Amino acid sequence: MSIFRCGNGTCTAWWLLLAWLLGLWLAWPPLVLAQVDLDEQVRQVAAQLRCPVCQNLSVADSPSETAQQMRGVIRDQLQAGKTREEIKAYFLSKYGDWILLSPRPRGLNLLVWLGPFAATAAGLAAATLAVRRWARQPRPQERPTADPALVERVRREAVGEDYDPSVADPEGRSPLELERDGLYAALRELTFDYRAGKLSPADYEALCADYEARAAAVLAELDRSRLAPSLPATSPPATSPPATPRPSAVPQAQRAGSPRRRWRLAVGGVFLVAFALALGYFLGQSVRPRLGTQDTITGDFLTGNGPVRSRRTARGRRATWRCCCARAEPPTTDRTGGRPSRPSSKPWLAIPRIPRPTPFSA
Amino acid sequence: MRILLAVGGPALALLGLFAYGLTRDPRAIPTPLIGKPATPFTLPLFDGRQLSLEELRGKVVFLNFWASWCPRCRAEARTLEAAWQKYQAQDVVFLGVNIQDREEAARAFLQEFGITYPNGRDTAGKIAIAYGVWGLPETFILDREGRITYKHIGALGWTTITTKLGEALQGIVSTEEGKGEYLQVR
Repeated sequence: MSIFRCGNGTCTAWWLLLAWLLGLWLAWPPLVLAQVDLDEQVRQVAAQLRCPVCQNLSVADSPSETAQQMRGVIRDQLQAGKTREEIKAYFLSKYGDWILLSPRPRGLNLLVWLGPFAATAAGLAAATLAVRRWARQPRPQERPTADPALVERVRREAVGEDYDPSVADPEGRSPLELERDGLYAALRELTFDYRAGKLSPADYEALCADYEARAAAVLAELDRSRLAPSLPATSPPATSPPATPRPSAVPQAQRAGSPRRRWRLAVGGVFLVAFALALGYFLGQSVRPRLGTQDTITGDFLTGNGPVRSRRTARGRRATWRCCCARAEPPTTDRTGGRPSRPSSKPWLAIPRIPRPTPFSA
Repeated sequence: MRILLAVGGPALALLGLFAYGLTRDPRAIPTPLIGKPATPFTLPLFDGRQLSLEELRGKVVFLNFWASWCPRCRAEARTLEAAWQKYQAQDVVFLGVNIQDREEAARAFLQEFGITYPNGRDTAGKIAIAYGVWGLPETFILDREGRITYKHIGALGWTTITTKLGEALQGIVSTEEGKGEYLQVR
């Protein structure tokens, strides 16, 4: 830290540090407000006490006679030199726990203190579960599971050369058989496309499973209808060449932990957490302590009636008030043309105005 | 089914808690004062004298907070006067504290019911606050050592008065406060 060494002529660094600390001390509100006046002290104590007359107001906020008398007692005790804690303890000894607006964490009161945290934890757990469920990809296995024997039969029959629906006569077939044949044709086409390289293994796998399951369902329906002899049905040939093994299935792991799923999970989680944080922050912001007897406890920068924080907001609000409510100031006229000049709506852009030459001097 | 249990269980528990809350009086403030020594005070009486609680040490004190605008106070006024007539020979002092009232109205009340026991006005409400008064009428019974043995909120009947005064004369402290029909302070 050579710049702090005074011998080298860098004493200014020390002075700057000192000035900075001084500024910090001056700007530090609790230090400046150490001598709050008595009214404010009374209000601060009374704000912690619950008014016995009106259920949900503090002694500071209640206009009732009892609350007035209680504020008088607080004032007397403050003037007698009692601390705020002693005064609180006095009311506690007279009225019991009921008088405290913020209950002491014991017994059934713990419910109030721990309940929100428990509810938050439960909500987060439920949200995590829900996000996980949403992020899970719809898996082909989740279709109604077909009988594996039927699926095997579908595979066998679909690729059997002696089972070409284009050769057979479509007239004598039932709608179910037509559907089955259509599915078989689709399966054959799929395999053809896959072998031709038009389909990715994943798509092929998914589509195959889908068609197979549907065909198996149709087959099951057909078998059931065959039990009723009235329905004429051409039985599929019992003997067919053994099914050629389908090209290898896509590895299961590739689907389960796919990066897309993880992304969905992360985005969902981040959104939920951000939503909860925003909700908590803005709800907390929209309630504030009463500033006077006519003041409300709600409203902040969101509703536009909160305390003014920035100079620009203050200026804007003054301008609005002048323009809409009071019209106190008449629009100023330009020296040159008598045209009313409006204050720039964006003063921070501050384009310097070039004075025009006046044709006639005033 | 699991979701139904996970959501329905806590919801039912919460509902049960709310139902329990409905059975309770939200205005009632249970007193922590029974069995504790009574706060000393000095009361300016209607007849101009000053009465300090310290002077009454050694006697059982029947301390009654009232206001002329409170119907339950009117309801019990004659009973209290009758009890005073019966007990004043037995080391029992009745003391009325008029709160949140106008002086004329309070005097008219005393005259109307012919009340003869000492009464005074607590204009700043300091005595009422020192006894945690939140309703009207409220009665505290103090034993000979100046300990609060019983508190009752609402109009008192003859049986309760005689029972509780008898207990206080023997130095018996009640475990619970009594509650009748009351009106909140204002």
